[in-house]
Amino acid sequence: MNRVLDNLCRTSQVLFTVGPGGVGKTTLAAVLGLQAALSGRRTLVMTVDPALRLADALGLGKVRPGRRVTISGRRLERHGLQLRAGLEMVMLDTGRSLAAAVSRQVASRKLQRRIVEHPFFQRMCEDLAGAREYAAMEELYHRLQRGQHDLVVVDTPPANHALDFFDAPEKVLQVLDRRAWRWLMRPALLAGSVGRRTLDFSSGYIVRTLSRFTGMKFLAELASFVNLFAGALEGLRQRAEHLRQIMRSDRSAFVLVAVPEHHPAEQALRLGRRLAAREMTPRLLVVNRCQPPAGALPGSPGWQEGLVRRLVAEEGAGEAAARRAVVALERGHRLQRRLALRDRRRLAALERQAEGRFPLATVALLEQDVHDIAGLEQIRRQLFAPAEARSAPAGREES
Amino acid sequence: MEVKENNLFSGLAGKRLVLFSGKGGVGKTTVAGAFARWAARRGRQVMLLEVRSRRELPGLFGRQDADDGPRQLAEGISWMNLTDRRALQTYGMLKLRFRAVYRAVFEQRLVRRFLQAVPALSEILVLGHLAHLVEHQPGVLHVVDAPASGQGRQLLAAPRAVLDTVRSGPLYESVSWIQDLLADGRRTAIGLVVVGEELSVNEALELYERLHRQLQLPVQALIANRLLAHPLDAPVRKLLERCRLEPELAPAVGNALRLHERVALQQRYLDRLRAGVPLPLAELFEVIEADDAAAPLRRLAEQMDSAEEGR
Repeated sequence: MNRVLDNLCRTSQVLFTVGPGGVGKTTLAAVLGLQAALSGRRTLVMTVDPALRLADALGLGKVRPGRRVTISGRRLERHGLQLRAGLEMVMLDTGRSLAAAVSRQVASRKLQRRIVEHPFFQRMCEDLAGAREYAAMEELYHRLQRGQHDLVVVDTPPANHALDFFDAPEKVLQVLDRRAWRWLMRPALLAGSVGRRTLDFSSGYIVRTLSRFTGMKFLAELASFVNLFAGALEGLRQRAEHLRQIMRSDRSAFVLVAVPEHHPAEQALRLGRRLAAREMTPRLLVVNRCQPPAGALPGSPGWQEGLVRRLVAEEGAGEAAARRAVVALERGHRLQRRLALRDRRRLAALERQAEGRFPLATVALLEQDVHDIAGLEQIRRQLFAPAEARSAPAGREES
Repeated sequence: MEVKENNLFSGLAGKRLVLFSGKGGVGKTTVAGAFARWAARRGRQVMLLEVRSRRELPGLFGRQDADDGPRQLAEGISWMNLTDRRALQTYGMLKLRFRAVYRAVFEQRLVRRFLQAVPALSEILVLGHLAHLVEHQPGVLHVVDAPASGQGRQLLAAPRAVLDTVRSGPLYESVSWIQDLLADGRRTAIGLVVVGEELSVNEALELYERLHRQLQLPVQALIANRLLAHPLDAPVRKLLERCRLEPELAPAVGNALRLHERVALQQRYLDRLRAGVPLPLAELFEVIEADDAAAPLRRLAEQMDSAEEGR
C-alpha cells in the first residue's frame, strides 16, 4: 500500500492530479476518488478536460457537462466494493460555471442577464485563454464553500496548461480589470455606457492602432463588457485570493502523474518544479502504465523440443502448429523483456531526476484499457491494497 | 499530390503545409520530426514548426540548445518555435509596418493583457505568422507539430470563429487569407496521429468530425503510431492456453497471450477508426530501444520508407 497516497485520500480536502496529456490523470483522479469514498469520505471528482475522459474512464458514457453524477453503490457492489460515503463526478461546463460565478457576485438579475448574454461573455467562455481554467477554479471554490463534500479531486488540464489553471484567476481578472481600461479608453468608459456611438477614442493612439488589428466594433464590445463586469470583479478577486491560499495550505495536495516515457516524464518533472516554485510542491509522482517484468522462460535445456512433443502427443496438435507455439512463446518473451527493461531504465532515470523531491509510486500496465469500474479497481488495488491482500492484480502475476 | 494509402507520406510531402494533430502523448512530435526527416531525405526543403511548445524537436534530433530558433536541425531541415510574442512581432509588424508603432502599442504591459482577452487573436497571430512563412517560402514544406487535441482544435477553429463574428475590416481580410490557406487541400494537409487505445481513437473521431465536417479543413491522413507486432493465429493461441497450467511455462505464456491481447485490442480500435474516418491510414510501430537521442526519429523515418515501398 502506498502510505503517502492513502494518507492524502484520508486527510486532504482538495487533491489535484497534474501531469502531461495522455498519462492517465483522469483515471487516477477517479481512483483516488473511489478510494476516499470507500474510506467513508464524501467525494466529488471534477474534471476540466473538454474531451470528457472521466465519463469514459468511469464507463458512464456521454454525460452532459455541468451535471453532477452519483456513482451508484450498487454498481460498485458488483465489484465487491462497499461505498461508505457518496461518490460523485462532474464535468466542467465553462459557460455555466462562469455564469453562476457572475450571478453570485452581482445582485441585480437584470445586470446578471446583461453580462451573461453579452456577446463577449459568450466568446470569453469559448476562447479567452484561461477562461476554462478559471471557471474550474470558481467551481472548485464554490463546491468547497458549499461543504457537501469532504474531498474534491480535481483533474487538471495537460501539463502546459496546468499552470494556466493555477494562474488563471489572475490572468482573466486582469484582463477584465476596469482600472487598466480606464487608462486605455478613458472617455468612453467615463461616459458610463459604452455603445458604438458614444465610443470616443480621442485619447487613443493606441486604441486606433489596435483597431487596425481587430476592428473598432470588437473594441467597443469589449469595452462595454468590461464596464458591465466591473461590479463583479472585486468579489471574484477575493475568491481567487482565498482559493490560492487554500491551494497553498495543507488542505490541498498535488499528485504528479507520468508514464515511463522520456518526454512525458520530463514534462512531469518540469511541471513539478514549477509547482514547487509556487509553493504547491507535489507530494508524489505516480508513474502509470509500467510494463510488468517478463518472468522467465523454462530453465531446462531443450524445453522447446519437449514442449513440441508434448503438444503433439497430449493436445493432438500438428507439429507445425506446435512449433509455431514455441516460437510465439520465445518471441513474446523477448518482446515483453525489451518493453520491461526499457521501462525499468526509464524509471531509474526518472527516480534520479526526481532527486528525492517527489517519491515515486508505480502502477503496472493493465491488460485492458481502463474504461470501467473493474479497471479502476485494479489500479486502486495496486496502489492501496495491503501487501498480503494484493492477490495478483492483472499484469503482476509473475513479478 | 493526392494522399492515398500507398503513397501517404509522399502525398503529404507534396504539400506546402502539413499539420499533425492528435491527443497528447501519442507521439505527434516524433511523427512530425520523422516525417520532416523522411521528406528531407527525398530532397524536400523542410521547415519544422512547433507551436508555443516546450521546444522538443531539437532534442529529438539530438540537439541540446534551447532557444526558439530558427535553427538548422539537420541537412534540409530548419526548425522554429512559433510563440505568441514572435507571431505578434512578425505578423503584427507586417500589419502595422512600423517598429516604433509596434513598440509603443504592443510592448505595453496593459495592451498585452488586452490581447489575451481578444478571443482567438493569439491563435490568429500564430496562424498568420505561419501563413506568412508558407507564402514567402514557396519551395519549402512546412511541417507543424500542432498542439494536442483541445488546443489544436482551438487553433484550427480560430479563423472560422473570427470570420463568423467579424464581417469586414482589416481583421476580416487577414483572417480570410489565413483561412484560404488552411482550407486549401492542394497546399495544406492535416494528419491525425493516433495510438491503438480507446481514448486516442475517440478523440481522433471527434477531431475529424470537427475539423473535417464542421470546419471543412483538409484532414487527409491517419497515422497510427506505436503499434506492437505480435500476432498469434488461432491454433497457436489455443495451444498456449493449454500450456498456461504448466508452472514452468506460465510466465512465458502469460507474456505471449497478454501481448497478443494488446495487439488485438490495438487493431480493434484502429478498425473502429477506419470505420468512422474514410482516410488512408499508415501504421508505424513502437520503437523500443533507443541507442541515442535521435534514434526514435531515425527509426520511424525508416518505417515511413518501408510503408511507402512495401505497398
